Amino acid sequence: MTVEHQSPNALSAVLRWARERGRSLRRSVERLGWIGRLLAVGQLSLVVAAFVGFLVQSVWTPLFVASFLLVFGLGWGLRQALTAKIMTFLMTVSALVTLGLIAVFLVLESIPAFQTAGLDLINPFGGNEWAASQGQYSLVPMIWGTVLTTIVAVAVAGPLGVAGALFISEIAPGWLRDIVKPAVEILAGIPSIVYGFIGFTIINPYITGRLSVNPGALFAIGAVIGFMALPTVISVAEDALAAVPSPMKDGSLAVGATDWQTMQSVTVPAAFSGISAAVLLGIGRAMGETMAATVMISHSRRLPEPTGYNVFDSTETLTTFIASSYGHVTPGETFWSALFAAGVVLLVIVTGLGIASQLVEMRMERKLQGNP
Amino acid sequence: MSDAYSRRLVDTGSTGYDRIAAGTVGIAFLLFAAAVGTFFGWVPTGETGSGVPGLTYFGVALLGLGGLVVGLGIASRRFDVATTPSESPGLIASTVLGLLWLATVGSIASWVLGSIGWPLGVVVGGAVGYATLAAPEDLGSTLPVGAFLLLSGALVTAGVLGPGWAWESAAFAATFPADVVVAVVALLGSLLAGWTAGKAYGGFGARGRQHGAFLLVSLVVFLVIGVLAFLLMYVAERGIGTAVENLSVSAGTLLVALALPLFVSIRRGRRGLGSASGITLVAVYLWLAFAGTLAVVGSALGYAIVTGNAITTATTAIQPTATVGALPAALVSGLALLAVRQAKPWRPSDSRPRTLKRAGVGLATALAASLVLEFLVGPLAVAGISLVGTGAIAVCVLSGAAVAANLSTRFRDSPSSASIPPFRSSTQLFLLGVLAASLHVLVTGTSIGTETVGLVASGTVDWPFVMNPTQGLGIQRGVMPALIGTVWIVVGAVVFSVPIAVGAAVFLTEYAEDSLFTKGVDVATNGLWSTPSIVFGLFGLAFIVPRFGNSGSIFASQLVLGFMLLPLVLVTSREAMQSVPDEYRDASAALGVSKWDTVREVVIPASMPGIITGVILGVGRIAGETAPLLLVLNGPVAPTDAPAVLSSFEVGLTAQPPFVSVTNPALLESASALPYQLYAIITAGVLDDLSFGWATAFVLLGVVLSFFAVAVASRRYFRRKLHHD
Amino acid sequence: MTETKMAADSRTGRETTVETTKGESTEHTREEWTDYEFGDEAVLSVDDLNVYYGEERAIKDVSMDIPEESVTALIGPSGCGKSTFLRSLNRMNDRIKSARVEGSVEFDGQDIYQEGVDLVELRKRIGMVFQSPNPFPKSIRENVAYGPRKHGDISRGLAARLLGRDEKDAEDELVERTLRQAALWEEVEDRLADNALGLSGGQQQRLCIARCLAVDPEVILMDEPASALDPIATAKIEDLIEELAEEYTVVVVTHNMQQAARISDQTAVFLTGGELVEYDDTEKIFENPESQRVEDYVTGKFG
Repeated sequence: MTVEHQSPNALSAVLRWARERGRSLRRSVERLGWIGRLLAVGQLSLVVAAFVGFLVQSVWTPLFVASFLLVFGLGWGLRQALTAKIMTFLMTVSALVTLGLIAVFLVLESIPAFQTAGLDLINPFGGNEWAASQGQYSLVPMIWGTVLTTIVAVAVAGPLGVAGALFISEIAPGWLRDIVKPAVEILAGIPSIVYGFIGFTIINPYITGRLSVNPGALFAIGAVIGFMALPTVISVAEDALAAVPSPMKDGSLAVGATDWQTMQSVTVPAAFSGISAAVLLGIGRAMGETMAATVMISHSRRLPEPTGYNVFDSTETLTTFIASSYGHVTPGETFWSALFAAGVVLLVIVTGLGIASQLVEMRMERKLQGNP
Repeated sequence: MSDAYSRRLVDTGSTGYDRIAAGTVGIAFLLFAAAVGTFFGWVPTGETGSGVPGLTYFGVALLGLGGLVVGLGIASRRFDVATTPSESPGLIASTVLGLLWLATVGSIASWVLGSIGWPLGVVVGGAVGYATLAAPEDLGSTLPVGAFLLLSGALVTAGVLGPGWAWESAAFAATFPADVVVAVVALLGSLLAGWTAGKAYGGFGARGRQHGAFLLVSLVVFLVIGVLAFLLMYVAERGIGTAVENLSVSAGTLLVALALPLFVSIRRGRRGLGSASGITLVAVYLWLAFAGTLAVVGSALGYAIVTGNAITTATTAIQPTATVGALPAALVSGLALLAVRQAKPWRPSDSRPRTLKRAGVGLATALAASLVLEFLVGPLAVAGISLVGTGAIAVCVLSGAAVAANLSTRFRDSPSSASIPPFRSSTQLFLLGVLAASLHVLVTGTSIGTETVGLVASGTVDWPFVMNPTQGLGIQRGVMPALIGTVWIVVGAVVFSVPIAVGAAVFLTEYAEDSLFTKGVDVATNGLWSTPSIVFGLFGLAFIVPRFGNSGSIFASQLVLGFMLLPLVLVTSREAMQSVPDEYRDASAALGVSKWDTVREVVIPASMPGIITGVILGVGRIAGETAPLLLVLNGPVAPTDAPAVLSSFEVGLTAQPPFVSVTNPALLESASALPYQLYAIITAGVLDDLSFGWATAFVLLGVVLSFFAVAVASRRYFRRKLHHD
Repeated sequence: MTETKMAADSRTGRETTVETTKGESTEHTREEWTDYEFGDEAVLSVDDLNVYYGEERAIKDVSMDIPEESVTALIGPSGCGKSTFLRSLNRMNDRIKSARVEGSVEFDGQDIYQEGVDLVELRKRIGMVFQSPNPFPKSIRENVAYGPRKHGDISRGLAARLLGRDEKDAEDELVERTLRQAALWEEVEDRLADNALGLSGGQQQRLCIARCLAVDPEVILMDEPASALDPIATAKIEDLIEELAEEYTVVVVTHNMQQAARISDQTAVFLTGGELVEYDDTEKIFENPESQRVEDYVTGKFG
């Protein structure tokens, strides 16, 4: 196998991979007998046919599915190993396909909105008004609401999450860790609608009563969402901290540094990529949080008043927008398509965050190997 | 050495200084708790009994803390105390304190002088930051904090920040009353004081900074745990009343349900008794206490049965009948069978015990076979006497006799005769008999026994909240439709996505080499895992709903939640398979076994525990998901009945394409689900009092958390089994 | 004429040599073989040390004195507890949850296992070099200066620069001095800012030694320092150890007997079960040990 050095040309890397795959595929096909080839071709083509049929809503789809099952059964009886390999391969491909389908269909449904409103949908310097009845479609108020709540949420989940991760992996004695770790998992398991219910019945009235603001302050929602994103940050950061090799920490302690100094100078920098990834994932989780916010927020689709950064006002976020509008909108309308546009914006940002966290981890891994 | 005092190898024990520092930490903690208490209304901020407004006490506390902190700093510098401060508090402390004073001076000055206040604040903050940096650590850490506490304490005590004052913010369009502001200041001040006093306790320097940092981190974590505990208790307290309203259980069923926890807790307690470790002993005593409580409850139930008096509370009732429901009995005996593991398989060598063993195995097999036959065909009866029922009872009697014989030999301390089957085997047979009997009752609907004692098909548990529909004439409202809906959706999601996820995990672990393809799948899996749930709902709306009836349905929800489950199970299955050591695979290959057979016989069974745990965890996650259901389920707010999925399957051959049709109309209808029901209660405002909502939240929380508990228990069980191997 | 017979006490399992000379018979017990008499001050004095991992006893009733400014080698077959013993001298065993220690280790007149011992101070004065080099993923200079920076002996960083207290020169001098002591200076003097992980194995180990020297310890504990290195690097480390012994007390664990014979002044032999069987001048151990088991070990009959 040739060593894969960092080729700056991604296209040549893809071509090289394709060539290698083609070669190994040809080799394995040559090894099969004609039954094997027939079965393989049959299964693969029937699956593709069934999928395409399903996509175009063809009437023949159940037939393709039934015949696929037949050929599958045949293959399982005659050439089980080959059938198993093909089946598991198909299942793996489905993971890729699912994500692709989600992206494609979301974009498809959102196109009418972009056609009608153009880039005004997301342009912060245009008319940032949402008034569907008057043909004004701008997602900017919703995007800004998401931004504000996410900032508050990260201010809660970031420091608390890293502190919790440090506590669990470095500070706590064994018995305390055995209590706190399951507690964090329980925290992760509480459904968001329950948080929303508590926010709706306790937090909203309290804040409205004490601070004389409209119910559903973005500040309160951000705090609740931050609390919900906490377990994500804690578990990913804790994994990163636990992965720091023990000899490195031993080396620091043997020189007479305290545990806290070791954490500051050795453990946390070594786990920094994992911790950043944890925070990025926490941001993504906070952005995607729907139910708690939907139940608490006031759904007034405008920018916060009187100042743009007023976190005690209650407006709308991307997720609450989608969740609350469904039911008041019919398919085919621009409003409907705008919902999907909001979904596209969400997907792009969250996926971007995920990719960013993976890049950070890759870069840090290189640094740990000794390259600058 | 730049430390002011030379370090000793051994500390001479706690001094007065240490005790004062520890006391300061304690006071700071109390102040923090009191500030939190004002948010809940537990601590009064207005008029108190002594005529002094509650806020003033906060002011006094702040003043006291300020004095203590300043004192700690000056004492360390001036007097001969065993502290080892560094040259400077460091960049972090000076930045924090600089920002603190920036905010303080800025806000006060802008309140008094107008907008010139903030630049003034910046100047003062910068000066404080620099001065802190340049000062030796014991003064630099303590004086700015102490001054802040003294200032705020003075303002509050003097009444400047007293009751009646409020901050009206134009920018935030909100009014912040004094008790909120003072509480926030108290929170901040107590955190700072605790941090600084913690540093003092450690003698400043590297060790002191460690003390302070650990204190802060631990406080944060305990806060989070506290909020969690509060949340759970609050939901339970508000919801449990309505949830168990008019619940009526037969004493017999309750007794049977108690038997398993009692057995488990006794065994856990007994096993740990010999251990020396302190924590394990505490756990052992807890288990034994639990067992004791169960025993007391059990005897109360027995007493109720004997005397025939029902036990009632305001909302629930326990009927004094000794009938046992078939379903609970089946569950308990099934679980008990899992719990009774045989340490050593019974392999008798003499002829009589061997015949006994064969007889036992034969009986068990016959019972199981006839049960299956009964399920498929119908009740098997001869002359009105049910075959399976009598058979099961016979098995129970026989094995019960064996158990009794075994126990009597143990009590008499005589050596057990080789012809009596061992305790575990006979117990297993007994439990099998009970299980068979309960299943038989469930399947055929006939009961075994009399009116007052025996196995009944239904009627022993009447739980309106869980068993009633949400809307109906004159009945108590329940969440049964939502519960059934959740069950079907989850089952469908699991059936749809777990095979695909496990299959993909198999391919990625066993067949694929690290390549662009696998990296792409990794990226896709990560993307799927972090996709927001509402986006999955949109996807279902765009892709699945138009192809299956063009409106919300159970089937669409199953598919969408299945897609959400896919990455969870894929990741955990992959980890489980990767952790199967290569030695197993190598050994299998060395025996000439093909790759697929190795996977099927070695890898998949070895990774089953991890896969199962992952599935249970994933199910716990998706059972609580609401957002996608809003879009693809769109069910009724107050459903009147549950979807009848099992009875609606239709398979047929048609003349036109596609020639084969498999449909289930019930799946294509929309229904309700537990989390969806909760949302509907809030938004639709159909039900006036929120107690129904709290009870629904309580049940939802219970369902989700029990999934988690089962997953954690299964993970521990499998891990212990792995270590015993 | 003396006849030496081995007699094993069936009750305690202790080995004794019975010398018979013209009617005289004297028994030398194992305690005497480990009761090493030497003229210098004992820096570390171990008394009846027992170390348990859970229920298992890894170190059994070990007592020995370690003289200053010399090289003491600890040898024995693998798994006999040498590393455990070494780690208990600077309380690195505290890092292992199931470890439990009985007995005492006296350093500077104080038992390091008593209540209230400052571990930071202890490990400043008793340093350790590990089997596999473990430099930090930082620059070479930052690795060496790590200890002094953490102890506040050298001020660097943004805060120090803001206050005009940056002690870069003092640090330069320290880095050069310790890297010379570790025989690494020539090879890295022009790339002090490079990542330490880019050095070869032998260089990394010498860097770890320099890092240890930078805090000016009194005792240096080395756990098989050359076992992960090639022969040339090993030779450099061995030369280094002999030089270091002129200023510091060095205790070296090694499974390589020839290495122990080459570099050490006195040798302690541990055998299976964490037992210290014999402790004496290195020449005596290798040429004429008292115990038969030790003789079998050093002549290669087992281990």
